[in-house]
Amino acid sequence: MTYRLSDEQIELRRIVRELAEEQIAPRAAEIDATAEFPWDLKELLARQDLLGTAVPAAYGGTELDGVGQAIVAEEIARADATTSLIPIVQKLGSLPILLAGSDEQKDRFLPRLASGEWLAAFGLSEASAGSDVSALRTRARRDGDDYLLSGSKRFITHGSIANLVIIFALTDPSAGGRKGMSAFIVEHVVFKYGYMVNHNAFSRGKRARDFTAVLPLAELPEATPTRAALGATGLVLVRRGDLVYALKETCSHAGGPLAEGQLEGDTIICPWHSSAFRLADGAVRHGPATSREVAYAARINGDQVEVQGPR
Amino acid sequence: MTYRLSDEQIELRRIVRELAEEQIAPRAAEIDATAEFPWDLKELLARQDLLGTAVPAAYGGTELDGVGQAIVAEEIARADATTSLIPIVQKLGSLPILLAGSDEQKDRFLPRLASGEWLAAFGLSEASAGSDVSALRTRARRDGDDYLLSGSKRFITHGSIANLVIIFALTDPSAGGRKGMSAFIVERDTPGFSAPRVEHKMGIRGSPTAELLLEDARVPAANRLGEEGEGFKIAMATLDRSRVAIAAQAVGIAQGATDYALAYAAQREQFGEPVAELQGIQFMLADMASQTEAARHLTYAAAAAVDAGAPDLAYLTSSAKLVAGDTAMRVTTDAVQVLGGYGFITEYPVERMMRDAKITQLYEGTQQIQRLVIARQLLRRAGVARSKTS
Ligand SMILES: Cc1cc2nc3c(=O)[nH]c(=O)nc-3n(C[C@H](O)[C@H](O)[C@H](O)COP(=O)(O)OP(=O)(O)OC[C@H]3O[C@@H](n4cnc5c(N)ncnc54)[C@H](O)[C@@H]3O)c2cc1C
Ligand SMILES: Cc1cc2nc3c(=O)[nH]c(=O)nc-3n(C[C@H](O)[C@H](O)[C@H](O)COP(=O)(O)OP(=O)(O)OC[C@H]3O[C@@H](n4cnc5c(N)ncnc54)[C@H](O)[C@@H]3O)c2cc1C
Ligand code: FES
Repeated sequence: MTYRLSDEQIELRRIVRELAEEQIAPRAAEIDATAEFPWDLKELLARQDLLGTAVPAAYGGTELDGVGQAIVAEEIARADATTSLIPIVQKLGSLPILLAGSDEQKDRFLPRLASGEWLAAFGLSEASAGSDVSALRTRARRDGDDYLLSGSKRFITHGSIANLVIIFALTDPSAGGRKGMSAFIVEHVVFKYGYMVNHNAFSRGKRARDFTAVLPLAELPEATPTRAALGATGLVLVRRGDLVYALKETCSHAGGPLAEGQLEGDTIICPWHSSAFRLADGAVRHGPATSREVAYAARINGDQVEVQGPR
Repeated sequence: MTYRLSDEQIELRRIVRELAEEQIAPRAAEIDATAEFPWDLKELLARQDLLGTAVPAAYGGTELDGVGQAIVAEEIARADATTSLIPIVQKLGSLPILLAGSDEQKDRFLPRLASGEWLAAFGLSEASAGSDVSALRTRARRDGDDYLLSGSKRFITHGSIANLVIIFALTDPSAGGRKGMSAFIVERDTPGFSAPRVEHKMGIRGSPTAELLLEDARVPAANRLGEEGEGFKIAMATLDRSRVAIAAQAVGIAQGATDYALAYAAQREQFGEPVAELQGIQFMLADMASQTEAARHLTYAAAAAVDAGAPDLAYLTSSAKLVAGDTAMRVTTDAVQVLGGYGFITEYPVERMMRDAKITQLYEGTQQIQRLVIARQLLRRAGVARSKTS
């Protein structure tokens, strides 16, 4: 054993420090002041292959050793703690798959996490289950080939923006938390009342007016008469009859994954902040709360929905 | 001597606590979020005669003893640190007049400060003169019956809203800061006097911390406190007495955090019982409570020493601020810990209290400067060293 960093580790530190000093540190005060997730830095870290450091090369990761991963987190945190959570939580949400995932699950999810195309989150804590993890109440009931999960999670870092969340839930409540708990990979697209288009889909568009995402119409869930989805960062689409409604959450107080809002006429009322989100054919505004409205447009073209990025 | 609070002091605490719990605590989160000065609470404190506690009855004050004044600051800070600065800074700005003002100056200014009709501020610090007060650069040049003040002040609490600010400036730059400094009462509408900027900060966010600009501000010689050259002495005599109020503020913040954490721990259940039943939590609460208690009694002892005009009052007021400030920081950090993740989020008040606590280690002399004051007195007492000061 040697108790010295290897030449590669020293070089890794130099590279990450330089990146952090030049591109992350200058953003730190603003990220703190606006409390907005730094999507640009997430892209930067993805481009620099720093979001898959815990993932084996076979799945597209860079497979750093533990000290190397620590160096990455440390040097980013030296410039900005918020940004350091991007690789840290990416690993937190990938670990359950690395540790317990089947080959099929690894094939399906790890490459997208390693490339940083997708973000992962780890959904363990609940209001009444903090230190006492075994007290959790979220239930998972078997329903044919599926499980139906119900309950709520609290304090889930990146829970509102991740593409997949590892959700821990009781499959056998009678066996208690320690023995009756199971873990699920929950993708954001399966949320009940909405279809969330990942932010990434938009950042790729070369010009703001390009249609940057195309979805099969059939995948859009129907908005129920009284409920619609809101509270997530990213774009939410719901379908009602022939109309497609696009909803862009720009407020910073989104509490977690998609929440249910009351649908009143063409307006969704946020249950927490009494904000109104107006639904309109093609474009949606976040209610009175925001000064930075981001308009998206969605239109039906045959059996597809075309979504236009922020203008 | 009795080492217990008097019945009047106990009653005072009861009354101020009730007022603070009912009318100040509910405003604290909003004051912090908006960073707006709570004018309504200033009016409330004025109506309740809590802004003239340091002023003699002859000038319309309520003339509380030092312990009584500490209790007022402490109980308000227990609910909201920003609001506690209203009486604290009122006293800080009144003390130079009380200590060095002429009868005419006292007649002219103290009644309006005691009633709370006017607010006072204390303008000592500058960009390049923080701990090193004697490095200040603001100049005061005599011009007939007036002085013309020029320079700028930094970090002046309530400097942008006060009706009068005590400004320290060099009348004789060649004599240096210690000997060449004088103190002036500068009224808000003085031509050439302005407050161009207010800082954004971590805590006590509703208390405006202002930069003051003096551009040949014309101040009548009748507003000079004491003689020319007495400014440094007045500033130090003021701070030696005023920082006991910061100690009291720190004690109040610590008590507020301890009380909240205790109540939270009693109702938060994990592992099938309230976390307050866990010894790990009990020991934290016990440390928080006992350390706060210790800081409180040192603060009261310092306040009593100020009343008595004790020769070692600076030793005690510096010790009180040092101990109480560190206690407030530690106790509020622990309170966040007792609440777990909930302590970290804005919905719960201990997060604000932890941010508010930090300033008590900084202003009216940083903790390092308190140690300097204490050590100088120790050495002087022991006769082992001649003081570098005076
Ligand atoms: C910003 C933030 C991000 C988070 N991100 C995530 C995330 O991504 N995923 C996730 O699942 N969770 C996340 N959490 C939740 C976090 O892990 C919990 O807050 C933490 O585990 C503590 O739980 P609690 O807040 O309920 O505190 P509690 O469990 O209520 O603890 C209260 C106090 O009691 C003490 N205590 C509890 N039990 C004992 C004991 N047996 N012995 C001694 N002391 C004890 C605790 O130390 C604490 O001081 C996050 C929390 C925050 C604030
Ligand atoms: C919110 C706020 C409100 C304030 N309100 C007022 C007010 O109303 N009126 C007013 O006049 N001033 C006010 N101040 C100024 C305050 O008193 C000064 O900030 C304080 O005296 C420290 O000065 P500085 O910030 O310039 O720090 P510096 O003096 O630059 O100190 C930097 C560091 O060096 C240390 N240090 C300095 N000298 C020594 C030494 N000799 N030995 C060991 N360590 C040393 C300090 O402890 C500190 O850790 C306020 C400040 C703040 C932040
Ligand atoms: S989540 Fe943003 S308005 Fe409610």
